[in-house]
Amino acid sequence: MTTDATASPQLAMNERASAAARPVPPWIVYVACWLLVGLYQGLNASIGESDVATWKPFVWEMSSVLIVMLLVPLVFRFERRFPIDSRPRTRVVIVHVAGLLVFSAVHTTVMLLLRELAYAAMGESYDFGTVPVRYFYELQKDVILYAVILTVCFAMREFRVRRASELRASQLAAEASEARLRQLTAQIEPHFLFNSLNAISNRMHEDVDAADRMISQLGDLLRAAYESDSAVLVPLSRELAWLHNYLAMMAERFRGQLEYDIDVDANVDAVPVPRLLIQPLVENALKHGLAARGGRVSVVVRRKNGDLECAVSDDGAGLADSELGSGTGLANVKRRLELLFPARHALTVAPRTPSGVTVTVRFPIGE
Amino acid sequence: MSYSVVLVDDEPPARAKLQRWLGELVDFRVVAEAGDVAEAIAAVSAVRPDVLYLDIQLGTNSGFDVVEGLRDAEVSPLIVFTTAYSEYAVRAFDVQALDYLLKPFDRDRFLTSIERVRAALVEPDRSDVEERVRRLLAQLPGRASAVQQILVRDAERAYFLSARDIDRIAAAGNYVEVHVAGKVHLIRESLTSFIARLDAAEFLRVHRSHVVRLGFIAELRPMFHGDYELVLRDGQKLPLSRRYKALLPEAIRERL
Repeated sequence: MTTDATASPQLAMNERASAAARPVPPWIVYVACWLLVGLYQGLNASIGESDVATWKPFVWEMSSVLIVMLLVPLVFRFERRFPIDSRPRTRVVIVHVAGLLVFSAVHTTVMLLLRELAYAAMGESYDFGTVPVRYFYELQKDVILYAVILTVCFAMREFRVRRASELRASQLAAEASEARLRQLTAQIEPHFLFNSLNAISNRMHEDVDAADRMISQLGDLLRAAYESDSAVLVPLSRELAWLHNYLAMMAERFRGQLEYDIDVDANVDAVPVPRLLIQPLVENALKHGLAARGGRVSVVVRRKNGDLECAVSDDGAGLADSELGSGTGLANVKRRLELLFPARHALTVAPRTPSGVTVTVRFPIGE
Repeated sequence: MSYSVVLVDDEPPARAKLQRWLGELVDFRVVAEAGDVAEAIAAVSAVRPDVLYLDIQLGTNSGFDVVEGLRDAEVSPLIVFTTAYSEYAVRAFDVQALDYLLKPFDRDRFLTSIERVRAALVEPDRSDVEERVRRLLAQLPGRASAVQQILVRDAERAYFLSARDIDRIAAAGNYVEVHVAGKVHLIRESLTSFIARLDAAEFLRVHRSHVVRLGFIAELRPMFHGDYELVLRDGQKLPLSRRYKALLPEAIRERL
């Protein structure tokens, strides 16, 4: 007995807690809203018309509201097929005029049928007057209703599009700063810097001019890394200048083991390209080329129709290397391409003969 | 008479630089160069040099892999580490007072390392340097951790010794004597390679031929010239030279 008394309040509380945690299904909210509208309209009408039985205005309004409630989702779907935008085309306007006529016809017909049924149930008969006049009268009201529904559709879509583009913009900004961070950690990675300095300190004893060149290359790389420009797109020439310096330095550090060539179409210098998109591809190629103790890294940039195609090849261990397809470098490149050129880019990884891999990225040339 | 040197670095200019400066010294000669871990172990095992200049970053591998490989091959040249940048290693080097060259280094710094190498090479017993390297490896992340059980084989059987039960280990020719609760197990292995498996913080090398579990030391008695004598829990006495005294854990050293 005592245990029951203590246990039951606790149980009741648990039930309440779980009911609060479960959200109400949206369709219930939707139906409830329309019922409230119907009740409110019915109340209004019954106050205005004191000489008719109280139930009649509620039947009028409810019969209308219930049909509108069922028709609105259909109009939404219809509008998605023939969307209204800020400058609708003639065809869309004609389609929606037809849509309005159907909407009004269905609305009026079913509404009148419902009223007849309701009146019959109350032992009375409903008089809907002259049919064409009645349909025209309802059509006038439905023009406004249909226009309101379309406006809501338009506003909701605009809101969604705007939200999505804002989200994309913030993702792009995050991407760009992430890329910058990667550049900082990659280029002035202490290991890169100190080994380069050590290579220069050796080169001085062999060839002062060559050492001088290396110092200015290293200077350019450091300058690029310190640049506070956060632009997402930069001219291709800037990316290539960086690439030249980077590869030259690596070729000095691994002399006799690393060769490289950069082959670029003549008219693409000013093409805007995603900042630091090529760098991880080249770093990957170097890693694989050097792991195989020596090799050649090639970078080829071509204009193809309206696209820019950039292929980075090495003659290293090739696809057998399991990390290749799934490397974080490539994954980042892929993600950035998706954000910048959704559905208009390509990234392919292909084996070469006799050994090595070519990674190709392709994206549209923007204006 | 000149000392033989092997240079290990994956970047040719880094080797060229050492090669040039070593070439100017009459008492050193470079006998081999290597660019990766496998090459380095093969070269050092083949030529058994006096000195090894060893880079820490060898592509995607580590110079410490070379150190471990050489210990297994029972070759122990004097090692001068070179590194461009490695936070962990540099901290560990400082703690273990091992010499290392930070790239880029100049000729003066290089010659300082040569002076240290010369001093160390004339020392007949370099086991304390070996011990410093063992401690260094134990401190670095990603290295194999100490084993709990040691497999021992003799003529009739193979059995396990629990590392926790070992009191001390002594070198005896080609064998090590492993003292476990008053019993002595003879194992055909070098002291260096045997203790590589043990926890460096718990088993201390106190002499070229002796390793003792920290908890098995009962007493430290001062002797002459800063030397000490260790008295163990079983009454056994071992000499502790100044060089090995410096290798004792700080908490113990402070109380001496």
